[in-house]
Amino acid sequence: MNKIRLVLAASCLLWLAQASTAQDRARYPEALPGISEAYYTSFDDDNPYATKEMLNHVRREKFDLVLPRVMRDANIDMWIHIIRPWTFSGNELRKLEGLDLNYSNIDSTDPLRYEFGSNAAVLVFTDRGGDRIERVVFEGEVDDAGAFDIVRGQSKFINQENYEIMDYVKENPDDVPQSEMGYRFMGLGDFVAERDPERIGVNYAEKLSLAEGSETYTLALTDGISYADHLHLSQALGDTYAERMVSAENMILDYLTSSVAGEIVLFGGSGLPRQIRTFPKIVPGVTTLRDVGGSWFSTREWDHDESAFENFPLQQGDMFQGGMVPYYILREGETEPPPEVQRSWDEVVRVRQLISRNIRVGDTGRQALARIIGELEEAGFAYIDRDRFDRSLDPGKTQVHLDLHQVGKGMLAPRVSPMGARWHADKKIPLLLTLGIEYMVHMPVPEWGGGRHIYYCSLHERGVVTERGVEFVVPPVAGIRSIH
Amino acid sequence: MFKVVFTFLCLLLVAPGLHAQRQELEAYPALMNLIRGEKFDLVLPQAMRDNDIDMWIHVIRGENPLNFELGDNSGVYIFTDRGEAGIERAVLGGQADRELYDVFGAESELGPFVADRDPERIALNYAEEGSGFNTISSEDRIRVLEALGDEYSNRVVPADRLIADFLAGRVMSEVALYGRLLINSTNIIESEFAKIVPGETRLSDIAGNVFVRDLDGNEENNSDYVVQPGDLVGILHGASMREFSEHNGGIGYVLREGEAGLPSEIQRIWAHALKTREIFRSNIIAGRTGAETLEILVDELEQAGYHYIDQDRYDTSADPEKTQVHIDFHALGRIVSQQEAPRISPTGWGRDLKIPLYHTFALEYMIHMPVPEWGRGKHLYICLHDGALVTERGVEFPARPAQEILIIR
Repeated sequence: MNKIRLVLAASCLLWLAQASTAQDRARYPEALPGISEAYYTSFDDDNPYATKEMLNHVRREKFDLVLPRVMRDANIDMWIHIIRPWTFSGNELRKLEGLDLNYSNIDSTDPLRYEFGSNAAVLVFTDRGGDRIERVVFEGEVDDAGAFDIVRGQSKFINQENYEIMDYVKENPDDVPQSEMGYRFMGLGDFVAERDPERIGVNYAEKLSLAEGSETYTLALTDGISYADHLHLSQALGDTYAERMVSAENMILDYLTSSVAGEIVLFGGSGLPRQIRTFPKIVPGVTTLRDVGGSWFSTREWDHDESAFENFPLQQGDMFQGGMVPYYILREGETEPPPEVQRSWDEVVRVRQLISRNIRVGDTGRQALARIIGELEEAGFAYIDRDRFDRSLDPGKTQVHLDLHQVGKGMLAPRVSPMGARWHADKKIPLLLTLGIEYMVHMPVPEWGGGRHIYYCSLHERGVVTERGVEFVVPPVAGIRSIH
Repeated sequence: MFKVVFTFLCLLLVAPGLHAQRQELEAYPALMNLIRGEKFDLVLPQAMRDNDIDMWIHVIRGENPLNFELGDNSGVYIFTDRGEAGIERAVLGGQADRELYDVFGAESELGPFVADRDPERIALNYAEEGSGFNTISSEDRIRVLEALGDEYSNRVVPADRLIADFLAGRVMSEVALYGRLLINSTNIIESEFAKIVPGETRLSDIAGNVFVRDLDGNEENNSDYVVQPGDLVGILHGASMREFSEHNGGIGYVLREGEAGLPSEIQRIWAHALKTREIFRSNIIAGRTGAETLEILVDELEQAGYHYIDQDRYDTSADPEKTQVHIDFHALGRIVSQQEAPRISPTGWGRDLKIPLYHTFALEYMIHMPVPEWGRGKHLYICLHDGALVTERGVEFPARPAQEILIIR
């Protein structure tokens, strides 16, 4: 009997431990290294659907459905995309041998490394008429060879520590590239001439400050090929075709931000509810915002200085945000937040509805911004171009700041915001754009004193832009949670 | 006693692990409310205007196909097109979610409520054709018509097509959910294929709708037939969450002794599957009816050298050189509207309904490929069944469709 009790007790403990782990969210392997950071909100590591199979599926659908359109819209007949191989060398590759790591396990900085499943390659996409674009890996390896029509593989000379390169040089003394970097482009001139494109898009930036377009620290957007590669490419193409090269920067942005249905599925997340926290151990006047892992106060500060009050003790009557969820600490005798706090949430919901009805496919970010500002003002709100309460405005009006932008690829464009590089707001909103619904609401509470207000910041509620407006794929925050 | 307790506890411990592997989806209230709210906001106005309906009166008494969308409680649910103000949502004589409905009142207010809004065409939840949406009782129907009076009762029309359109319309949160369900069922299908041991496994040992056809087209379906080398095995399996469901398909080939990969004729039938898939993808758009679409697809198939068959049965009278194709692209996503929804198929009343934007459906088609060298009428058979979505771009796959014929060793 004792034995039964022992097993029962141990098992109950184990079961409880499992249950609590499940509440803390599972973590799953990344589809490719680093993708959960670069493509946050779509390839998060707590999303069991964000697998390599889905990444491959999305790639193929984008090749079929998005690539022909973006190339034709940009009037590009051939797109040559060079992913710089400078993140590894033959020596590095050999060091990895036997470690059960493959090509794709080595990270890269190219913004299209996940789209193409490669960290070093010369890729050529050619519009040869018809419904599809020819997809060729001219040099290099890819993670999903079935997505391409031709994969020529890695140049046998890419590893310059072998005897083959010595043999080649001996046998072909007149046909040796000036630099070893040129081996990747051998034969490319003939390949391009055979297809005879009028305009060749190449992944270099010409006008856009691409690094300004990323919101992550994993370089979701960077300038493309190096100066050296541009020279080698020009040489390989010859004068006729080198003159036809144009920057592919706008087309690349269009490609990255145009989603297929599979990306909407991933953007919908794990299918599990948003985690709502409980705070059983708050001691008013002692526990600080930092202690509870809160993000910022909604009721204390004037200028949304996120760091100013994090060590300030929490008091009854405070409202703060933990991520996007607002929490209110009830005062003695209160059973729900007071009317002014509840009213602030009503304002948030009104703003959210107004935004979602006024973003249209085909608008530039700037056009969408103008329309929303107009609607906000007509509805009695005051628009502010900075996320700071403006004391000079009508104290009867709730102030709203806007910064909606692409998410899912770690990008800031298209952007419905007064902030950032001009080109962010110039970009058009494509069909099925995955949009972070980011806006800030400052509701004045004159009875609390001049300038005092309640603040709410919606970071990235997940919206998708369709012909019908903005649709949410994940339920937005439902309301203010009370802490007893 | 100890053994029983120990076994029970072990099961308790293992169960969560199995659960996690298959990622059961949770029908949490916020998601359900989001879907309901967005369908009211985005799908209902279009469905009412497409059907030229100014007011939709839906009487619910207990179980109803629209319980999820409208509510579980008895009452008279009324949706009125108020022009620029949108669709007003009212419940008379019942309780409902106050975040979803604008107006509440007593059932006795029905007559004045309608007169006040003066609708030209009023849809009521009955049907003139055989339909599962014929849900109002005759008693309720009489009561509603009496309350409306002569003037407005003459404006009443059946709501079956409006309901079908409303149910068939998808919002993005449903599309994302649909994709997750598709992934789940694909994972289940692949794990069922992995269980098959040729010469030992019976079709009835495998979960789902499992079938094998011989070269004459005779089918074994979920029977005690033991899987044999040379068989092409089809598995259809679903995944569901509350009122949402879909089912997906997979195909496996059992290698014969000495075979290392798919033999040429199996590769050939798969090539037909891919070729026809592209024909379907390029020719299905929103806005056409299922019947109109079928006509186009049949034409395209025949132009590409296929023989269309309106039944899933090999046609022995057809040209023996031609591969035969049968189509049944039915709706997926909402359990109640898989049949009574837009359908690209030779059967079902849904074939006369228009395919809406973001229609979720099964790209279900069957290939019967003759192999004349095996004898007259001998043919191979596969059934493709992939979850698809109609967008502005045509047909998209929210999750990966069958990529190949799986090899069973």
